[in-house]
Amino acid sequence: MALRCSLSDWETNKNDFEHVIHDPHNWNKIPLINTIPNYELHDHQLVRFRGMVQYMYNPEYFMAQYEVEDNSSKVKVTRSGRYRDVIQCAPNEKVVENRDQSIEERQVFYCITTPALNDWVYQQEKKLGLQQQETESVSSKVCDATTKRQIEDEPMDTDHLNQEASSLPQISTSSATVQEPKRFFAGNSMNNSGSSACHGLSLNFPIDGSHGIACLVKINDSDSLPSLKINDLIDVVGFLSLDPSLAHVPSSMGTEAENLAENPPPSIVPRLHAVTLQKVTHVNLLPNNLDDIYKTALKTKKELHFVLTQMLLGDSLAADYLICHLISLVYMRKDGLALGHFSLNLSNLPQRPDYTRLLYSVLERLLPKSHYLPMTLENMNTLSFSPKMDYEANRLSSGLLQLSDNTHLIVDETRLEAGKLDASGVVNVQALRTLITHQIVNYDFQYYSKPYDADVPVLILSEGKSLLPCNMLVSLNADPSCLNTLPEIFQAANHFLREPLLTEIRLYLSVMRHSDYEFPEDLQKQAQEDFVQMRQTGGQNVSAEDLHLLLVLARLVSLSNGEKTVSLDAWEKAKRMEAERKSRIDIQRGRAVQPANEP
Amino acid sequence: MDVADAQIGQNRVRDDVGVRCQKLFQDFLEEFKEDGVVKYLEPVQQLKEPERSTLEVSFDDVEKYNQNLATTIIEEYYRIYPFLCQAVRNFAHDRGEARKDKDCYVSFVDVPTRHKVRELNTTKIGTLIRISGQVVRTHPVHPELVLGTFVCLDCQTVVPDVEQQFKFTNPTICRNPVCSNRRRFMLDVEKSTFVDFQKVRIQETQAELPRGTIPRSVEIILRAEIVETVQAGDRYDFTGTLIVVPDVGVLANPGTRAEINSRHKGGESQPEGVRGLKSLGVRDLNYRMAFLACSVASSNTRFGGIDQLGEEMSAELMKKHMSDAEWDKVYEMSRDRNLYSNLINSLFPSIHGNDHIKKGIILMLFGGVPKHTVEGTTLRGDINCCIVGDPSTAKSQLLKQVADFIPRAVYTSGKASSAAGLTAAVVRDEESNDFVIEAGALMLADNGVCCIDEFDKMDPRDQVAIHEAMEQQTISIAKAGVRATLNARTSILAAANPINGRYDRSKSLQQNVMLSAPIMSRFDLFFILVDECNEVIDYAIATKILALHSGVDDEVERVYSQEEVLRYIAFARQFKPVINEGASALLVDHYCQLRQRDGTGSGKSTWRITVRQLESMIRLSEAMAKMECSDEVIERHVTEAYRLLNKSIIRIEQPDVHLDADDDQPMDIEDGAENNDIDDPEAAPGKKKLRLSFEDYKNLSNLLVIFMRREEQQAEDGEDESKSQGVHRSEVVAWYLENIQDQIETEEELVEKKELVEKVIDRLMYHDQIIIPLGKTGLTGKDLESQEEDPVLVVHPNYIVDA
Repeated sequence: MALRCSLSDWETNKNDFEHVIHDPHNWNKIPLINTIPNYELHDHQLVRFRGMVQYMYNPEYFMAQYEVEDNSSKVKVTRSGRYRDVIQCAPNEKVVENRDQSIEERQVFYCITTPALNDWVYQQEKKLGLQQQETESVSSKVCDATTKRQIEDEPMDTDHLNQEASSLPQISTSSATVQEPKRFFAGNSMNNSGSSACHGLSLNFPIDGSHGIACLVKINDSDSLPSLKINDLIDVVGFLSLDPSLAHVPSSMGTEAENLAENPPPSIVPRLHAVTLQKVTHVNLLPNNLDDIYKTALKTKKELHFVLTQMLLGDSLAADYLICHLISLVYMRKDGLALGHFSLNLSNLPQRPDYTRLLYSVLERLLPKSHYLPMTLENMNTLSFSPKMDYEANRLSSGLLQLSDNTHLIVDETRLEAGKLDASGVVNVQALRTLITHQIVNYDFQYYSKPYDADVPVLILSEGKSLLPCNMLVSLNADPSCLNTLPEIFQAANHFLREPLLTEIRLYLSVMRHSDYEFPEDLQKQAQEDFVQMRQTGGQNVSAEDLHLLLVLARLVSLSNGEKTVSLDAWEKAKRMEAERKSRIDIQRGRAVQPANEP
Repeated sequence: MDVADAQIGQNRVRDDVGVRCQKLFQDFLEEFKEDGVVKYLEPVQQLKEPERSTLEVSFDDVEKYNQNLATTIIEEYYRIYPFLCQAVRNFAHDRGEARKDKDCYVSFVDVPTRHKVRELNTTKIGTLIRISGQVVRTHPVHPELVLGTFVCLDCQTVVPDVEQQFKFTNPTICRNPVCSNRRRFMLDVEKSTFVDFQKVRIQETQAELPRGTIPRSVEIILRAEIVETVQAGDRYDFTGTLIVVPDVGVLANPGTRAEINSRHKGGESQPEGVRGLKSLGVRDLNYRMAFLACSVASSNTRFGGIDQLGEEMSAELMKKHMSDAEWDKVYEMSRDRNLYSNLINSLFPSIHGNDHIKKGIILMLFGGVPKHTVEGTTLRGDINCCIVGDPSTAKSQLLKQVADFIPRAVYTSGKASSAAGLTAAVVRDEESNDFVIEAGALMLADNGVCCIDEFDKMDPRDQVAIHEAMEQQTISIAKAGVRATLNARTSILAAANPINGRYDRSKSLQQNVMLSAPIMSRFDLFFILVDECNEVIDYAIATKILALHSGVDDEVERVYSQEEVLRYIAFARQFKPVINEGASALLVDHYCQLRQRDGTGSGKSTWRITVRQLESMIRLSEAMAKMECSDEVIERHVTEAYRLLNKSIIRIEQPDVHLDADDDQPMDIEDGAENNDIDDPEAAPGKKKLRLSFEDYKNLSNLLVIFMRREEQQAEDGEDESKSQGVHRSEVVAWYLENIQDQIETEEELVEKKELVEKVIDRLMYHDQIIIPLGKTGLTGKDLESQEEDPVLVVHPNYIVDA
């Protein structure tokens, strides 16, 4: 059984429960509402939610304490308003007017399922939840939280137990991947079944048509919890509030849209009164001991490199760059520069319509969060990229680029055809450019636009040089013999990528990305010398930007080897890679029939 | 609602504090005198006009009159507000001949402390505060029912003056003792009192927003005279109080509770057309905050946050608003001898070199003094800068950093913005179907800096559109029935790319940039950034980048924090320096010189020197004076302004340096290092001249300077007596020749090179004054003659090796 704790228990015995919850073992036992269908949940249940902060409402004020008087017996009872939305007041009771009712403030966040979350992560979360449930049901002796269940006063509870019991056998027979309509599948727009639960209300997902849930997280003691920023990923534990009367109250003050946005029906957007929360930096589940991953890093890299080389039609250099891209992140922001972002443009792709999709299907299995964006004219003209403030409803309408950190965006430029880009298309391209060059997304607040930091590595797949700016342009050097056996190659690759290798690679990518690194002093000298040397020989073709890139590349190369300190080897390798990459571009340029000098 | 409290208070507890305040406030209104006149007598007499109902009271006056009263008003504002209004009503009746039953309101201005939207919380409820924010949404004006007169539907008894508490409230029971009707009443609209009511929403301004958060907003309730005084998109200060709706008392009302528990709403029939505060947020446990405003003032601040009192701020006033520590820092900064370079280092630590550009930007932030002529035209005080340069020379970074740093700055790209995006556009408002003006980047940066990247990529049409904005500092709109002139008092910092990707030195600036002459002349400063290959610079750049990547704090320490610099700039801007006689003479001199050179100079002249450049020079001098917090522009400031202007104009062309120019004809000494192209190259074609391209000259001189600096350093470290003063000239020459010995093959070349380096040193000594030959002082016992020939050389301590 999952960890249970009723609201009244919590109030009487707060410290104990806090202790219990913070044990990582128990943390996972709390039912995760991302994976549990709505009808299995009940009011005031202790649940967990993982998702992204999409919008922040104004703080809410509520009565932390109020008195209720029984009409007949005139007995006054003080009740707490914390973790609740509705006054507890039976028909034979009334609320006592009291001047010194304490009013407290709580923060309200609109959270959604992590956008662009790949299916395997969802399955992983779900499986973990099921495992917990199964093991729990076997062991009869559970932690003290469950014994307290008897005192639970919610009438729904017994009902709920039955439901859960009946669902158990069914679940144990099902393997992780079959049946169960992918209600929470938060993948990409190309293969979803379309129908999202809409009641004239958009759940405001950045990616159109994706599935998932939304949730209003209310935080009472914001001081003791980490402060949240927009697009942060959170793992929050709290009490659910599903009272139907929370659905919007018609009021003459606000407009209809405003009310709907602020008080969506709790059946669609449940309220969650947080008791504690953690910020999540990555969605992959990690083992406790990371050392093993560092130890096997080289080996894992080799395997990954092998697969990627196959997929990139025998191009080993491109595979090197792709690995670096997959573990890149913005590790520092300073003076308006986002250091560490590493956008990659794979150009010169074979002109096969299915190639990019095949490529993505493999990447999707490796990355926890990724989104495939076919850059068709229609997409560019119709999708909205930048989030926009909707003053009518007083909320932020999400846009495609409102993604949490380290979500990979794969832009497929091979889908682009000649045609007219309309006004919104131009704005969208501009937004994409800003994202790539500055790792910033400008949110449209109508009267001004406000830049928000983003960390979205962009991979552009194109036939020629992309129209978007990019850090690294790698011209693919395809082995023509591979082209004929394209489907077979991918079949083999998908076959090759299975357990336990698949998990290893996933862990490897997650751990290496967030690993610390150091650039030793003597190497700094070396780098300085090299740069001056390059300037001397390369003249004006070498700019400060090149040094930036080289440093980022050296960092990624050494991290991909599982080394936390940049070594001379890594530095030299980075230089070699850059040299080869540049020579390819030159060849490419030479091969093309010079159509006037392009600026 | 509340205004009637006092009248129907018979079954309530008398509020002693309120009554006392009412009396004190009435006394204040009757007695407060300014310049011997009862200050509020005249305003109150206007209240007899039917359309007037609000008396504006300066809070400063209340404070002067009675500190206790002021404190009570601040702390208990919401509670005593009805009493204050009653006091005004009495006063208006007694002295202003207003009708007895006329409703009058009080509104306070000049409330000292200002809060941000984010700072509003429950502790502020009920107190008098001032908040500021940007209006994002306005709702239409409605009448709000204040006092309702009801008719009992059972016995036709009239129930007058039922106070409406945030929601439509029926009388609790019919006044007729025999009628027990509690529910069936009808509102008599004719006899009820209404007040104008408007709801607007304000939002945190950009500058106040903590990183990564969504701006908070708050509903503002405007009533009576102040409805329709705000426009969406503008920033205002609102004075009033934070209230919680619904009022706590309402919860005890049985009707409300029923509403909370029932799943289906709307059973109660409420008369149409009565709108207002009622049922705002009536539900569950939660409350909403709203801000009940009594006065509105548009806030106009320069560089945000710091100066809070708008345009009329003086240096003295600002000083008053600073804490002691802040003031000490500002004072210390104003005394700093190296303020100029310290400011530069503090603002742009991660960009290497290009000090003159940074200097230009700093001066831009200080700005000149705007002037009004007797004819009523205005001369702008804002300084516009343009940076033209090769790709990857940190142009955009300069712009981005300025935009990041200055609170009221807008960063935009010329390519992306249409004329509307940059200036202003007329659009039809969806709500009211009226035409409204939508602000563009230039307007948003009013009183700030507008950073425009890729200025040259702008559509020619848009370039025309900003002509006016740049010189007249206004934007005129005549479109779709809307005619307006809007302020765009902004400095423009633009960046542009040269036409063919790289700056071609052999061509003039105009040939290099795609900008029309009228636009070019509107820039006070034009800087050229050329990507030069130079070992020294490359090393420096590499060091900066490496430091950046390894997270080491900057090599050059920031002397001042950003806040300190901002505060200082805001303070220094308040000065309005006047040009003194000496300075104005010097200005005239310099201007004539520029004109002269323009007239006679080489054909490919950079641009025409016009009166605009004189104005620029004046503005720059004023900015210099402001930077030093001086009330007077003196010669020193003019010299620096001239130097900068010269550098900006002249650096465009860096003709070859004629090392033996001295032999041919007298040099134009005052023309600085880079511009001695007086002798026409064609004039003496036969004569073999020693000439260097400017680049080579610069490289060579940098090499020498660095060598000498190093020697000096060593000498200092080693405390070597004989060398303590510097290097001998012969040593420098020898070192140089040694350095290039692998390039020398014949003896002739050696002689040539020696001559060259000698000439360069001469030039550095006598012309550029970078190297100083040490005089006899302090050196005793040495042969005078040998000194003459082989003097000890030191580098000018203030010289900075730059690109």
